[in-house]
Order: sequence, then C-alpha cells, then structure tokens
Amino acid sequence: MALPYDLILLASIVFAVTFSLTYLLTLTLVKTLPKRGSVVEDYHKPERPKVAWPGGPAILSSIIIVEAILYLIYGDLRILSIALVTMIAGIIGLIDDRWRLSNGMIKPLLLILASLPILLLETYVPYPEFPIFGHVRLTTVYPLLVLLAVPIVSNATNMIDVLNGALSGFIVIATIPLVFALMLKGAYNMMVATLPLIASSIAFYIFHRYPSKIFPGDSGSLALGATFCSIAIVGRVEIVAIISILPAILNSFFILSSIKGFIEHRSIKTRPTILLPDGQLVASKDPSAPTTLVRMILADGPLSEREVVSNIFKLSAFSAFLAVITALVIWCV
Amino acid sequence: MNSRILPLMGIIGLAWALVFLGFYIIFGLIVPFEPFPENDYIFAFLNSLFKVVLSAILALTWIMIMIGLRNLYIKRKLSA
Repeated sequence: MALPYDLILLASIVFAVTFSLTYLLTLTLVKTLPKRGSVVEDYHKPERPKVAWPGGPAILSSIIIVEAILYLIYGDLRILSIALVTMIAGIIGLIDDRWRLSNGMIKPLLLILASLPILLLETYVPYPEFPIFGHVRLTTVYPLLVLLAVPIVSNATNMIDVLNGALSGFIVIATIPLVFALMLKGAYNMMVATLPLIASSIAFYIFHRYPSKIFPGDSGSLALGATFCSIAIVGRVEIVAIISILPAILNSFFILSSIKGFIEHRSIKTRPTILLPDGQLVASKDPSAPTTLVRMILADGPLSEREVVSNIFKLSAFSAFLAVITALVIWCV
Repeated sequence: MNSRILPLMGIIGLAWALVFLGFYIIFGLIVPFEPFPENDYIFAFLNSLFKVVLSAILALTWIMIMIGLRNLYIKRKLSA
C-alpha cells in the first residue's frame, strides 16, 4: 500500500517533535531532580546508586501536547480522548509517586476515572473486530470492558517496570503492531496519533536503559499503559493490542494470582529475585515469593540485569509477531 | 535463540492459540446456540443467560490453564 506524501510528512514531524520534547524534558529532569533530592535507590545493583525519579512528567506532557496539537489539526474526538486518558492516568501516577497510595485497591479504582473520557466523548465503537468472525455486537458489555481495560492495562505496564529500560523498551515493541494494524485498516489519523507513544518511549528509553539515569515512576508507567489502552479502544484494534501486550498481562496475572489479590507491589514482603554480590540476579526459591515474569526468566539460573531485559524484549517481540499475524487474520483473511 | 525463554514463548504462544480457540468457541458455537425457542421474553433471557454462563466458564477455563502452566513451570524449574 502506498502512503500519501502528506501523511508521511506529518507522521515524521509528529515523531520528531514528540521525540525531541521527551528527550529534552527527560534530560532536564535527569539534571534537576537529583538537586531537589527526588531520587530513589536502584535495588538491582550492588552499589545501589541513586537514580532520578519520576520521569513520568516528561513522557506524559510530551504525549499530551502532541496529541492536543493533532486534535486541533484533525478535529478528531478520538485523539482528544487519548490525550485526556493519558493526562488523568498520569495525574493519578503523579499522586502515587508523591504520596504513595498504600492500599493496593485504590490505584485500580482511581484508574477507572481515566477510562471516562472514552465513554463521555463516546469515542468507542461497541463492535470489536475479531479474527475470522469480524465485527461482533457487544453494546451492553463493551462500556463495562472499557471501564476495566484502562486500569488493567495500566497496572500491567506498571508491574513490568522493574528493571532498567524494561518498560520503555517493552512499550515501543508492543505498540508497533498497533501502527501496523491501523495502517492495514486504513485508519491513518489513528496511526499518526499512535506515533507519539512510540517516539516518547524511544526518547525516554535512551535515559532509562541500563544503567538508568532516570526511572519513569508510576506517573510514567500508568500514563504509557493508559495511552496504549486508549489507542487500542478508540482505534478499534483491541484484539491486536491484547495479543501484543500479552507478556505484561501474563506477568500481572501471574503476580496477582500468586499473591492472591491486589496488593501494592511495594508492600510485597518476599522479593521474587535475589541480587548476588557480583551484580547478577537469581530467582528466589521461596514458595511465598510472587511469580513474576523476571523470576520465571531467571528460573534456569542467574543472569545480569541487561540479559533479563533483553529476554523480556525477545518475549515482547514474539508477542508482537503474534499480534501482527492476528492483525493479518482480522483484516486480510 | 536463548533456550531459557523457549518455554515462556510456548506459554505466550499457547495463550494466543487459546484466545483464538476461545473466540471460535464463543462466536462460532456458543453465540448461535439457542437451547430454548425464542418465542417469549423469558426464553430469550434464558438463552442470553446460558450464553453468558458458558462464556464465563470458558474464560475461567483459560485462567485455570494459565495458572496450571505457571505452577508447572515453577514446580519444574524452581522446586528446592
């Protein structure tokens, strides 16, 4: 399929502007946050270095600014929904970063608020497109699923944010199938609206990768998850998104089912991994330790943090590949 | 390819295949299934209820399979 020249130009500008904004804002935060004492320890290194935190404001402000500009260009309420969902989830994340919401249930409940722009602006279509069967009418259930989806996906991305660069890299890989699916559908407005998520994640990854200079905090992880989810819903690529984000969904599902309920991750007493003196990570053999994706990757023996993150990316790439196949089955078969 | 992530890829691949199979069972078998004649509201309601219950059972089965796979993986790899 040939893309129009104007679209390629707009997409390139959107990508470049978001990338530059996130890069510059993150660079500023890396320099200013430590001076204000806003740092946290990196628990996965023997020397426990202090790392600037939270970097979320750089991510969410650049995504919101570019999505707002795109809304002014296209006048498409779906793009406004993405900006509003990102903003609300980011604010909830900032509240959590600042005041530490101690009850594990509060954050998912607050995140329901982030779903509201999609429902109030009526930017959802309750006819999701399934493989083989095409459109399926879910008029009663779909709004309820929208309310649940944002908290579930945001928490899933929050839970995968455990090692240097894991979250930002994962979001980049998981979002590529969405761009592919939207292109396949010919939903070019939405395809362009997806680019800020990728561009912002790549720019942030430069500082977030091993050894991290900044952590996104909940403001970053919740905003990235909420943006991803809102694109999936308003872009009508829900099934592709579910498959693409399977590693994060399975990770949070395995954690929640092993600790039996919603508990704030900071309050989990038994750690799933143990840091060895040489800096390598090893899986905890304590039966009460939560089952996380990282613990499962480490089950065969110790690995460095970089190697674990590389394995997470390989699993994400595999899921992204399955998501691309799913998109082809939905829109080409 | 790193052999340590192959089983995890297997779990993700199986989860994907089961999602596809689940869609087929729900939309290909459960949705068209009308055990009661739809000639009055009670029977129509019972038909819908029946479909919701069957779909919920299917979703629970998916969850149980995933938990079973996780337990098997942890038992084989991490048992002390």
